[in-house]
Amino acid sequence: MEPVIQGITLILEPYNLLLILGGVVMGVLVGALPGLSSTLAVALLLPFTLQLQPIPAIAMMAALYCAGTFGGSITAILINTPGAPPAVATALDGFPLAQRGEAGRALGIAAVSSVCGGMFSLLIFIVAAPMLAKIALSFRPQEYFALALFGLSMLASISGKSSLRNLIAGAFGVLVATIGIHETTGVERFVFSIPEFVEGIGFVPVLIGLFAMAELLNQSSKLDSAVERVKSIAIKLPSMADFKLIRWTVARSAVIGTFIGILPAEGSTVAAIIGYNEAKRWSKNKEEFGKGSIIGIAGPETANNAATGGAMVPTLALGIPGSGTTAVILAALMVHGLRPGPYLIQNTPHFVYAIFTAMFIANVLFLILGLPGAKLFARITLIPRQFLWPAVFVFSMIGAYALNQSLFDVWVMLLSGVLGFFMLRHGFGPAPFVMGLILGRLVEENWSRAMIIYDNNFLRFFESWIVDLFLVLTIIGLFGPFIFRQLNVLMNKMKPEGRVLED
Amino acid sequence: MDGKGGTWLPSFLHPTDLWITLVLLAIGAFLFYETSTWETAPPAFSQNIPPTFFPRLVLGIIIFLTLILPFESHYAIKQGTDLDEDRSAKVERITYITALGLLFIVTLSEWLGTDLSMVLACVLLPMLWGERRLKIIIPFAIIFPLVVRLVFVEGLMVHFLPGILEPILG
Repeated sequence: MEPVIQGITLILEPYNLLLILGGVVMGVLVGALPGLSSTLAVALLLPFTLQLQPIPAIAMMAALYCAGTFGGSITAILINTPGAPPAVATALDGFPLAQRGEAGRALGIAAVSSVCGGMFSLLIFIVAAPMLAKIALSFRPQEYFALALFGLSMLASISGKSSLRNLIAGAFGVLVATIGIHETTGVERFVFSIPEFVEGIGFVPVLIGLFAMAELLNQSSKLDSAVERVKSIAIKLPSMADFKLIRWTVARSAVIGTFIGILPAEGSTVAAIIGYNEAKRWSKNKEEFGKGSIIGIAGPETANNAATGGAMVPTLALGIPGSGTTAVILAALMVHGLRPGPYLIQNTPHFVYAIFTAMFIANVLFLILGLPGAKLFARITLIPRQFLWPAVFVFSMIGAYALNQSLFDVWVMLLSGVLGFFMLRHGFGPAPFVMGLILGRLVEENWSRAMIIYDNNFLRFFESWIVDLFLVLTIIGLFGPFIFRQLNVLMNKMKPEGRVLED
Repeated sequence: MDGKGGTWLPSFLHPTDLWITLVLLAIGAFLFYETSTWETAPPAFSQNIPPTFFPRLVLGIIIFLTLILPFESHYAIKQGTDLDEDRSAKVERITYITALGLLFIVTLSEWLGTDLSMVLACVLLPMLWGERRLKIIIPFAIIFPLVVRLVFVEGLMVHFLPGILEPILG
């Protein structure tokens, strides 16, 4: 009980509450801005938190993560421009409802559903994370290797159109993780006589480059695009009848979102799409979808926020990121000198309760701020892109420089950005690359240790049932998307309506 | 290149993806060669896991996956997924100009110093992107870098490169 009280008390300090409030406001604003995702914002926030203690720093990022996911729905509903990918499905019914003069109702449904999803996943997080960590404490290097391999295999099904490209991007991330001195032998690898490479490539400049700079280049060709605006926003809050109508959808999507969040590498976008599809599949009024159905808003909104709490479970308990944003949070933990995984929870249990409390408060705060302030938050889209993106560049430049106070990191950031732009254009997502970069070290370290323990006999890995289980899951992770696609095609042939929404 | 114009290729091969494959294979081959130039650690020291083992394994996986890449689009279209959707439009000139602008700013940043680099970014990028209202650009280029300086230098104790402002900033 002591760690619980310690964690809660720590977060309830006024200074930390202020940081969480800052994280929420930033999250909603960033989430509302098309092109600025919560992953990008967390990456940019990281250098600002360097002077903070680890708990307030991670709490602020977690608050931003929760609020950013909700923030995307504001502009999705009000101006048909999803601020972030997880809100794409929300726009399908949110905007038509807003056009009918019921923007307030749509925002209300989105906010309440988001909070319900977020709260449910936090409950699962607080129960599951310590339990999972307890199990993981018995893991030996071979089990960690198999677990990390499973995490990498999930790249095949991370959001994006191509599993193959995700895997290639992830493998390149793993390769970049090998740059620097080999732990066992001290041999320099892929250093190319560049002294800065000896220590390996830093996470922060790569993260900022891939997420912020690549998006900046992407946005440079969209300067003239106009957004369709709802002329008047009548703030009419959802009624009790509305809540009654969406309650089962919320319950179902909360479970779906949390489960998807817990799966390594899967994130809010996948959760939202499945949440929408399931809401439609179970609905008696399918014809209302796409025309302003409140169930069509509740489904994805509950699921995408539920995924945030779910994604924190493997991140903190196992050190395996649950989504693109948690990959950045994981990198932040490392930058702050913490080693995510079971020992973090065993040695500093109050840490988990502090993050739980921070995310809980963030959920309450974005409900309080998000609904009445929606109109105000939506105005952020009025900032001309000609000024917004140069500001992002300045933050990126300083953010990349700040950690080691090195210009070399700024170059890494810029090159990562250019590379990220072309990767994105050709379907190689930055999130799989980052996952590979983070998990690569884990895979190699544990592989080497396990091989030493087993005297280079790989077959002895299979003596552990945990390894066997993860290897089976890895095979499912790799071939699952292909199998499910075939099943989907088969089902579509049998069912004339076809698919609802494709990822 | 949208990948749909290569009539000289069989229809199951995607021209753009074929180019990407060739580039990735060339990178893979170069990196594989690079692993052969590394120092060798004695087996006892490396405990029979040479430093080249894991990178070569990953490179092998990359090469294997890359070889499937040119055929993927053909298969994806059959599944109803258009992999060319995001790359159907050409990269606009402004994107290249922006990239060059960023390169220019970062190249000059050591000489200019962090503060002037921020000012340059706040002037150059909006102007590159068509903004001509100096009454907005000038206050933005002064106030924004000042705020960033205040947060990072005073708040977070980050040392900014003084550059040519060294005589003034000390």
